[in-house]
Amino acid sequence: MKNAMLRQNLAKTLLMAASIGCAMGLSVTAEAGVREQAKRIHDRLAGVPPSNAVLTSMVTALTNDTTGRTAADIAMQNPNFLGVTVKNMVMPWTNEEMTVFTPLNDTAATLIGMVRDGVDFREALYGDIIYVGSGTYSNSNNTMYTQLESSNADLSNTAVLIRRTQSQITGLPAGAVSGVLTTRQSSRAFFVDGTNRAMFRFTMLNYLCSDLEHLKDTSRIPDRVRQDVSRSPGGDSSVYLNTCMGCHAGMDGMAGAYARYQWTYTNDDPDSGQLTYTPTLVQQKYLINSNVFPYGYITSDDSWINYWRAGPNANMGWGGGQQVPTTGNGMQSLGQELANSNAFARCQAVKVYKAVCFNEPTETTLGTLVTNFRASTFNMRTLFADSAADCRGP
Amino acid sequence: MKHTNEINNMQTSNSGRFFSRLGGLALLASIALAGCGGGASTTSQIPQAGTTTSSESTAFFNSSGGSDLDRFRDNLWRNINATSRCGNCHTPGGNAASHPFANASDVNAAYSTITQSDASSSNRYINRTTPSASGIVTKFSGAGHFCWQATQAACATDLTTWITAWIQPTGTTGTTISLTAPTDEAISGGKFFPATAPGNYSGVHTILMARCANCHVPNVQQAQQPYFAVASAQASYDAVVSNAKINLNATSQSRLYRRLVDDNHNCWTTSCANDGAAMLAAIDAMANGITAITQEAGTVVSRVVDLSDGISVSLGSRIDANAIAVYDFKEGTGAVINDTSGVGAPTNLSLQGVQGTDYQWLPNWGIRFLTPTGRAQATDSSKIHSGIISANAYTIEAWVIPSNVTQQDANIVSFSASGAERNFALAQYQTRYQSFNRSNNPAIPTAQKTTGEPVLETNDDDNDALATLQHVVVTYSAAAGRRIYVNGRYTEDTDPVSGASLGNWLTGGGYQLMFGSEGGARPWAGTLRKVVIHRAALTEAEVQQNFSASVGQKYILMFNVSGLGGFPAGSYVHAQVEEFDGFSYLFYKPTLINLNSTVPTALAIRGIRVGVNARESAIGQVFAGVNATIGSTYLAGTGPDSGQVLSYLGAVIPKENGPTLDKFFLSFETIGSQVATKDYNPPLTGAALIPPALNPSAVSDVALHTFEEISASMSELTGINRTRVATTFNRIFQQLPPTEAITGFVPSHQTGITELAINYCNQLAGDTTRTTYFPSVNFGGMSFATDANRDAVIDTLLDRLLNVTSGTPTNQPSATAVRTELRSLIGTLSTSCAGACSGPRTVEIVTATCAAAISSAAMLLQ
Repeated sequence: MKNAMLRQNLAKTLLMAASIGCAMGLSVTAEAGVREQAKRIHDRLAGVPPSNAVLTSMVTALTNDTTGRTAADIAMQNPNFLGVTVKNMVMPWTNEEMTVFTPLNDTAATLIGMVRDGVDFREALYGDIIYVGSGTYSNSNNTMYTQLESSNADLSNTAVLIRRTQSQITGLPAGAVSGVLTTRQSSRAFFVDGTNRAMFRFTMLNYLCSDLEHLKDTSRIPDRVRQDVSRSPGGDSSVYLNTCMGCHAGMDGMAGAYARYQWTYTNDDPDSGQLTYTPTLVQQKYLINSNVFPYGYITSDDSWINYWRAGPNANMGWGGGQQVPTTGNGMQSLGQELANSNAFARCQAVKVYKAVCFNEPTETTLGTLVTNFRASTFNMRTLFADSAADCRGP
Repeated sequence: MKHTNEINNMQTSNSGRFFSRLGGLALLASIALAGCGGGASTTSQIPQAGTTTSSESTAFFNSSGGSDLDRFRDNLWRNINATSRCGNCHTPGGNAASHPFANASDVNAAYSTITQSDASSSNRYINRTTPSASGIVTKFSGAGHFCWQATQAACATDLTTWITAWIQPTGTTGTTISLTAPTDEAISGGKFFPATAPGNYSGVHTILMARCANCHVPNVQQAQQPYFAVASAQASYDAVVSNAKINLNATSQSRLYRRLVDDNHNCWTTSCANDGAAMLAAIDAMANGITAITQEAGTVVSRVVDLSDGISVSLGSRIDANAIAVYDFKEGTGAVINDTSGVGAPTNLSLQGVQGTDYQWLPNWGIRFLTPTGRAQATDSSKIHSGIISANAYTIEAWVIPSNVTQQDANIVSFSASGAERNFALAQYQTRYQSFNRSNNPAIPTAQKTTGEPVLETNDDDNDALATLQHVVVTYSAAAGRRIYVNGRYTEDTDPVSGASLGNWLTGGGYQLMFGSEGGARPWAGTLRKVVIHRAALTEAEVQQNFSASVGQKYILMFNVSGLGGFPAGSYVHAQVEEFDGFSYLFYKPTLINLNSTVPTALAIRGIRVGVNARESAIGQVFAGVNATIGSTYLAGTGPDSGQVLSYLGAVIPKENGPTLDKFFLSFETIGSQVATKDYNPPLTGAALIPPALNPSAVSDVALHTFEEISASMSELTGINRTRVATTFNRIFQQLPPTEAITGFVPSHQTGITELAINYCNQLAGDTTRTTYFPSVNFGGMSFATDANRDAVIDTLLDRLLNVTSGTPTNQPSATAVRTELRSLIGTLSTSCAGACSGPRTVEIVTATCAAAISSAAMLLQ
């Protein structure tokens, strides 16, 4: 009885506290100065309020370095910058649902580590790199990373989140490694079942900020469109010619690079599967439904061709600027093709700016962000610092 | 009764034949008697007796072996020698006795006649290369010749089928085709898009900007390529031209127009027809201002051909030995689908609904059911009933194009009385094909027997049914039950019941063969290109052979490239061409050949594009990637497999004016020494290279911390590791704000925040660190009577929350105001014990005050 009364008392107490909590703070003003700027930079980079000491040091830094970078660097030392802000920015890139509500995984951890260490972020698409915990990495489960997350591990600690060579960790041949795209989680998400076109689409979405609808170009040469694509869906080839082909002409040309990758699993349990790479064989999924259009392209290797270097998608700003199709073999070289585009640099800038400032940058701001990003050899910390400084307020 | 009618009809149209027919029957009878002891022979002369019985004379047979004469007898002669067919006149004593190819009394004489050559050494009766061009077939190209079918075309089809079965026996690859030069014709020219947008493009541009700018511009949320609704007329024009949205030479085929009138695509008034007319008028205004020229500047082109120049390619050999009903859908118009099997009385089907609205004939052979009203039904299906139950086996073979993969309970081919009574049915259920079958299996309840259940269907995970052309086959035998094949492959779906007799099949009483629905029930939307009902279960190999035989009419077009870039006379690039569907042609396997046997070597061919009428098609140019050098892989000869294949791919090229009017040519970026000067890949410059603009908008300076930031912030403020509240957080994190937008904040978010705050504060108030965090609080019990007492709890919280020590930023709540609220809260909470609250009550008060502080907007907002 007494316990019940106590619980009731506590409930009433907390309810009252809750209503007080709701009411407090409504008189927030928009006035700002250096202190206010420092507070906002910290809030938006670390996602948490600063301590007195940090705030004081940031105020000093902002006073001495009006670019805001020094102050931003202080805020980025908070472990929550990596463990919360960066993590929640990259988590949607690791799954088809594009949800942030997913367990920490090797793809996200590697992206976080690359931000922490200022690694050339283009390597996310082709580097032989992975970040692991202190335990034993498994190709067939995600336990290492869920444990890091559940233990609230300090990802800013280089002894906790450790940079390693992916090919040595996973056993994938070094030439077959393609940055985070060949880590377990990305493979699980985008190589599972299907035709591997998902890997291309989500790479474009997550790292070049372009969905296929924005890239549709029916004027490209459609000679790499595979047999499994109906040229007359529902008996109407005009649908193919004016819609489907616009994406497939470019996409199938490049998705050939993934022809040797497969997410292998048993017992209808893809989560316990692992990446399979066949150095000399094309995966069966590239040859399925061959009777849908027998005169379509038959994949025989992992070659790719980028037809989108010409035509309207030349505005992706492909590396080197050539407006003639480029070719290559394998996922790693395609990763370089994509990562060296201007669209890649712009995409990272836009995403960081939105994560920090909750808005898209103006073209002028974006130009500055990209210039500085390139000048820093694609160090994401530069983007975070510049973005936070740009929207620190008056 | 049927027999009598036929006789009466012939008496009307062929005076005097009745009596000669009686004579023929008498002769046949005597032959039959004489042949009883002879039997069949494989020698070059076939004994006349015993080869025809009364039942055989109306049945379609196919022989896969024997001599040419054997195959003639089994496949053609037996089908035409009856007096109800050619044998009434084209036999000695008949009205057309001078052409006795259907000699009813002497198969050897008939064979001798039909295989004879005329003075020009070409056969007057049959064409072994192109059966459909045989003299006895083309006789039906006009009107008035006696025909046993409803139309002249149907009789032509019957004969073509039988001749094909004779000269292309099962297991062979068909007759040899020799390529020949087509009629020479130069490109006739047409209108071409100028590089700069013409002034009279303004009409189109105005409509696009006004009506399409919600999507077809780059800087909107739902941006949709191509961006032809942009303000820049040139950029809009470039997008229209490069994506082939306007057809200058057939303006009514322009995609900008057809999307409105065909697809009702985002019409801006209630009348898509009116909107389409406005668009077409603007397109015409533009096209009318462009002068036609002979050939696009800078191109290198072949000579021109059209489909009438094409060399007809016979389809591969089919297994039709037991076909009892065949539907090729070649009619092209009308309300009847003819059974062209030639077996017995044709089981024709009548189409229901309105042509063009409910169903649509396809020019490349086929019928499309557009609405549930569009369907077809026979009036006498007894032939199918009797044929199948006597065999206790059947095959439903269909070339289909489902309109979509969302329809379900959709019957494609049925032998039914209603949507609940059937003998058999081939149906679609989303991405599954289904087979219904009535049988005498005693394990099946009567009710299920009536509906043909249990159903055999393809595995849902296999997605066997696709909205594309597919060859779908259901076989049934009493021994093996049902099997479903798609595109020649057994789907490996097992019949849930074993096979049994089909003796309980029903006929009459409404039981008929039906296409597209079951008497109006279970409608199916899609296209039928060919349907065959067999009175046997085809084997897997036979199904594969029929699949390989394909469907539709195919041609080889010969594009003359003689003289281009050093290619010698007689040089052609030929390609197999067919009408792919109602909208496009399919060009397949372009091959270089020299008919004069002069093989060009070390000459390059690069970048082939298909031209239609005056211009290269803007889309679908699969062969543009060709990069070949003529040389070692060239195969000598003049057959379709000779020469050097330039590409094994197929190109789908849009129609312009239709198959009877469209003319085709090939253009080459490089052919031998000749290089096109047209820039096929004009680089983008200036504005075109600028990526789509971003769309920054005015956003609130004030934002929310999101779910994990909230937990992390509370951890920072209390010093409690997040792991200690993990259980609560993992339970409620989706109840916390997922995004920073303050406009997305809802009351349930605050509930979650409060619960999380209470957990953190509860941990803090019970933790050993509490005495460090609250150095002036006596957790064993204390007074909260004065503000100073209460500030012992408040001071640390305020300092952590609002940076009081270092100076509260002005964009944070006033520390004084917050302190006042918290003092008031503690006062209320300690009313009953203000002078001496117990230890537990003190902990509760600290917990509550802490929760109020760290769940407040001071924490939440950033």
